[in-house]
Amino acid sequence: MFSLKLQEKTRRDVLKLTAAGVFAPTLSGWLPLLAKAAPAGGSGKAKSCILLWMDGGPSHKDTWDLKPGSKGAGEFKPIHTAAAGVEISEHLPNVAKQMKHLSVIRSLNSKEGNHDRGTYMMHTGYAPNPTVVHSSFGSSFAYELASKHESLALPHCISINGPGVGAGFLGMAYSPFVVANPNGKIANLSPPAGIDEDRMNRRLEMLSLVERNFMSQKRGQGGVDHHAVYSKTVRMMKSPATRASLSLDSESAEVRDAYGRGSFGSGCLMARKLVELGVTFVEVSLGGWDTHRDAFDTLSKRLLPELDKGMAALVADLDQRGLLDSTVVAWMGDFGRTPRINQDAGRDHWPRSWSVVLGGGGIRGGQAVGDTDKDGVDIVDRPVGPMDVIATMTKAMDLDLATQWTTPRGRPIKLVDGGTPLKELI
Amino acid sequence: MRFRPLALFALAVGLAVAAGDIASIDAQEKNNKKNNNKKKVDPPAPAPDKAPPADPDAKPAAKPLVSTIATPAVKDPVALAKVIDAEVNRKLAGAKVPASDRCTDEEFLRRAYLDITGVIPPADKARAFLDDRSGDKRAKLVDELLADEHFGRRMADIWTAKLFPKDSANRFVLKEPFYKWFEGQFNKNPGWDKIITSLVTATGTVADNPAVTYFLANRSVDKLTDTTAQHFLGIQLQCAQCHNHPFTSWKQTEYWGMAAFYSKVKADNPKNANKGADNTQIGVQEGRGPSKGKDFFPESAKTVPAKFLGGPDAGLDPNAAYRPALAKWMTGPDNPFFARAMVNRTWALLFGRGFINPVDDMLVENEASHPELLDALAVHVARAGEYDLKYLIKAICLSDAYQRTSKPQPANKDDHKLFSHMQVKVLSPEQLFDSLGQVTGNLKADGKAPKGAVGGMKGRVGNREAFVNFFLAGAETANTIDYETGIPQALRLMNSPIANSANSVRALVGANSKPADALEKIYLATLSRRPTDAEVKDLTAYVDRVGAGTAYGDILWAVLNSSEFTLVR
Repeated sequence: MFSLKLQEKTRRDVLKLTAAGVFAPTLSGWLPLLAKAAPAGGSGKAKSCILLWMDGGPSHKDTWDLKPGSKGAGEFKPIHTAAAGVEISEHLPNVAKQMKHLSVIRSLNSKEGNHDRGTYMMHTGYAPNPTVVHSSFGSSFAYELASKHESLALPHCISINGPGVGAGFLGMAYSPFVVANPNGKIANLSPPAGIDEDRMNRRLEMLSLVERNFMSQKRGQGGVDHHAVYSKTVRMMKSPATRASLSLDSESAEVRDAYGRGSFGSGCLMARKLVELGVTFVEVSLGGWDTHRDAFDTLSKRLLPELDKGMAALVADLDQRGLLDSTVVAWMGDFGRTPRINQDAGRDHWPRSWSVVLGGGGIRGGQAVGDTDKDGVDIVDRPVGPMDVIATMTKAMDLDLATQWTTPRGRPIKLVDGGTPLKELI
Repeated sequence: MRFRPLALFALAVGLAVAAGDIASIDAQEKNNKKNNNKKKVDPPAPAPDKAPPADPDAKPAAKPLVSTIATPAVKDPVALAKVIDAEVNRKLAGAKVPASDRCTDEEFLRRAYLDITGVIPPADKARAFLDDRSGDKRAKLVDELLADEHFGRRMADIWTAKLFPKDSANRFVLKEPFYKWFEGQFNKNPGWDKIITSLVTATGTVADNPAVTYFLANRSVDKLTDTTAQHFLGIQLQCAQCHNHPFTSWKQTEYWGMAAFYSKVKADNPKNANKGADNTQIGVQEGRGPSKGKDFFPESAKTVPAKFLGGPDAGLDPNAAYRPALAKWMTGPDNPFFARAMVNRTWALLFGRGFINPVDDMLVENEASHPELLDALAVHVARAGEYDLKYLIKAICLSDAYQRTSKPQPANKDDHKLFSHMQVKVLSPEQLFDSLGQVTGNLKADGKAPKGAVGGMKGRVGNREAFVNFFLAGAETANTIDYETGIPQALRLMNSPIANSANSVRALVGANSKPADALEKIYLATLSRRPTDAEVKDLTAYVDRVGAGTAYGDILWAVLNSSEFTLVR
């Protein structure tokens, strides 16, 4: 029989820690908070992760694993990169210059060929299962590292341009905060027109007053948790650094142009600003990869140039700022696309052998791990599964590979279940 | 068998917990999601191997439905409430845990409204109830609320979420007719047995019989078997789909024996509504042989004769419809699961937790907090009680146990399973939407959702559903006990138009109200109570300081964002 004491650190404790500094169940709790907006930055020691999510499923043969001369080779040529021996698509020339920081895994088999299931699989490492909703790795990282960013006035898990995948049984506090459009204003981050700062402060004063009666009766945890969430939310609204990180207005034209001004490039820039402040996980989504028809125009004119600018600028910028060693960068999507080209000049869903890219956070760059055959159909070297990718990132994040939680139903669930970090990469 | 070692570990945890004290059990059950200190923990004692069925010590998978406590011979809510209190009080006395006081009228009013109709009382109803001096006003209120059509909406919210999975495969399946069907059934209240019989035996088109939607939204035999077991029988059977259940004696054959009842279901595939297809005309038939629907049978499917869970083979005539036999067995007066599941769920609806938790995991091994009471209520409801859901709710609401304050005492604050005081619950997203809408008048349930407001599900959904999805943030159902709202939700409540409408304030407070009157109106409409003297004094001072023009808006904003508003006392 073991002590239950060890089990006592809970979701709620983490939440409390998160709100520490402002969390004090005193009834005047709001006012000290208002007087002194806490610095937004985290400790800077824990690592972060940026996921570049290619919504719809990106084609490996047109990006990272070109097969010139093969059946269904497509229209693009491979080019040399900064990494000797690693060639990628001609439409990714800027990324090519950063390849010493990035490694391609060319032998992923993710098994799930449906958008919902593939998205779930790549975010969680698990197949969807009626008995439990798993946490995405981003939410898991945020959950594990939240306590290292007690003073952070931002959510620990943020998704830009898309909803991301939630925290499942870990609870919605770690589900992504969604930035629908990085070029626009964050919905509801500011009080509505007509409510200036003075009036907002008065309202918060009223909120303290209204809460006094109920909170004094100590009817359990709900009111306490409510106070913690509102405290953190108010702090986010009030912190100038936080507000600046969620807006690109102050960025120079030069930087904006380097990243690209589309939603993806802007999202990458925002992601850099957010991890700089200590946000654990940021997902930036680029949609439109479900290219069943006329794939090559879409790829060469829109998707690849946008990806190339944003991704290359992000890696270069992280490197220049000394953040790349503490920031894992991952590139993936729902699944790959068929090695053959269909009658509509497109490619269909293909989870069996495709490519993902990892770098940063101590992951060794400049390599191509695994391989597919001459047509890009079968894996011929080093088969890798989604859990191996998550294991590699988990290790790069300095998290325990044995991390395990118990669901509310009492079932143990592992962050990494049956995956092994790729020794070539870490 | 992949889960076996994990499951044994979990079983050992379960045993450890069973020996622990009340507070620890609860902490374990509710909060323990963090478990990665495992390596520092003494290795759990090896759990005994699962006993083979022949083992005389093995627990039967299904406990017969018998009661050791006498229950009323006819429907009698007052007498049934006394049975409840005798048992709850006996357990409290045995544990030497004192009961908290009877709740105030204010507390009862808001609680009963939210629990039964899913929305807070309007200000005029609140005022009338609080000013009513009659002794039986609580019982009268319960009757009134059960007769209110919002009862059906509340229950339809709960059951549609369980039986209509959010899944892209269901994007063209019509949800609205199913929801309306449930709403109507709960309001008509023909008996839970009849509702479930109509559901599991449904045939026809959506237009003729919206109950068929259950099959259209769960178009495989395993989904049907899982949801039937989980939601109607309170049993988690799905693990046995692929392997013998590690916790109990559920064997794969039990799973596929139950699945066989659904093997002849022919459910139409929904058509692409974007191309103008009419999905009210698709439906369900009972075929002559095994269904040939695409993916209706998973690869793991086993063909075994239909067999009642924990019971005998059904001995079905292959030429007859199978589903009526399943419905008849489930809803029979001796079924070991059905009535207990109904009682446990209904109790949890009202108390925040069931006698057995999770409510849909009623293993024989999962000990009830009040086994005798659970059985007594189940026996009564299955026989004399005619599976009358409104009657069961009424009896529970009349009990002292339900009418206790949620304010704990020093000596019972750590009790979370003996019902010594009421558990504070969190408003569900639906309750929050409906209550905010009632107060502010500026939320339209069927209005178009604002662009980008949809959380999780893509597609066109109404305002209410978009709000609910946003507050669920990807979760399947809301947590009724833990406050889990996140930053995006708090931002929306603070800064969106919901709590910031000058029109709402004007409509609520009226023109030229005196501060005391205006504050009373705001408090009655939102918190179902009058402000305390101290609140009147402090808030009046605020009105005097900043002027009525903005003060009431600020106060309404504060109340709508308060924990007292978002919680059920």
